[in-house]
Amino acid sequence: MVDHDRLIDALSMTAQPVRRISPAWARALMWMPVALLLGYLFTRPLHRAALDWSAPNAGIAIAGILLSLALGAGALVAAFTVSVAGSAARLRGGMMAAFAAWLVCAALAIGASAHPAGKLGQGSYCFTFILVAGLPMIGAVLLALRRTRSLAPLRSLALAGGGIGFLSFGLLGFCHPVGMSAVDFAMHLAAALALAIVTVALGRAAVAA
Amino acid sequence: MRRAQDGDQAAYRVVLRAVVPAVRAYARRRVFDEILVEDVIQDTLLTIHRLRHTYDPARPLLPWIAAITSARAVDALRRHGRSRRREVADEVALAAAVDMAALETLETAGADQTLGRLLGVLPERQRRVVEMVKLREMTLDAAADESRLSVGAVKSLLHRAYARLREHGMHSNG
Repeated sequence: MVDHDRLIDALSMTAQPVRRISPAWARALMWMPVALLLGYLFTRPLHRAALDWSAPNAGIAIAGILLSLALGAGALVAAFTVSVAGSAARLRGGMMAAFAAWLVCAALAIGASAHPAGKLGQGSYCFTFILVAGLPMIGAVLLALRRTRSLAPLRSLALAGGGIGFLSFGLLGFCHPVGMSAVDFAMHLAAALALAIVTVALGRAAVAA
Repeated sequence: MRRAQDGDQAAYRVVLRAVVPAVRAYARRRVFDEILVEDVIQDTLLTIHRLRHTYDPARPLLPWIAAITSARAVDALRRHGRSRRREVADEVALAAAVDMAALETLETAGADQTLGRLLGVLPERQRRVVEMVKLREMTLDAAADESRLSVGAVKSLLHRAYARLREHGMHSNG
């Protein structure tokens, strides 16, 4: 057996006081407004008044926005939780229920569209909007994750990327008509997937412990 | 650990020393190579140092340590696997890469050294006779002429030299 006392002595001698991290939910609560603000500012040139709040189906869109923001917050909490050693993020029933409700909202929005199937080429605006909103959010979240780093960087970053996707959906909801086609919805999902991939690719080295 | 997070170096030293056996036990569950286990322990200690601000004093310490050890053990196994995959076990290539001339030179030098050491145990006259007959492959007559001795005397010197060498060999090799 090797004697590790020399290493321990060296580490002890360099040990300075450290600032403990806040709970994951508190960090998510702190970073989510930052991410949303960045997303809002970056997408300002793309804003359009598309959501008619007085439309009969506006409730679907409002529920979609709220669920997107809630799922984004939940995914960020999970990402911050997973990044701390020994903490496991359990996707609790609430999150699964919220996701199911979000899917139902999406299905209702597709049903409310004049052309539910849509056609190829639709959704390019949404795709661009989600990417433009999400990219600066990635920077903010990576900055937050760098504080703790992660022993499971892939899991943390995938959850963070998913959360960023949902936050971007939330922002998009304000500029999106109530109805959407299936092709449009597919473009939303493709953009969120792209954000998750970019988050993992950019953050893997930066966040790994 | 709380005091260690607050900068108490003595407390930190105590904690790190105390967790080493636990880290070793956790590492041995995943890694079966003892040298690699010690590497994992060192990596774990360094990671604990780097991530000590992430430990929540309200929670038990060992699950936090176990998670770090487990991650470092997996990393070590991956690294070990990669380095093993890069190693080449090609006997033919290895034989081709050996410089035979250098090997022969080394063997010759080794043999010369051994022979020199053996002849060194003989008296001067016996050594010269052995060199002439055995190394220079001279006949007994030629050796007798060169050393200005009779053939019988040369034979006698050779006989005594062999007896001495045998005796020396028995002492050296048990």
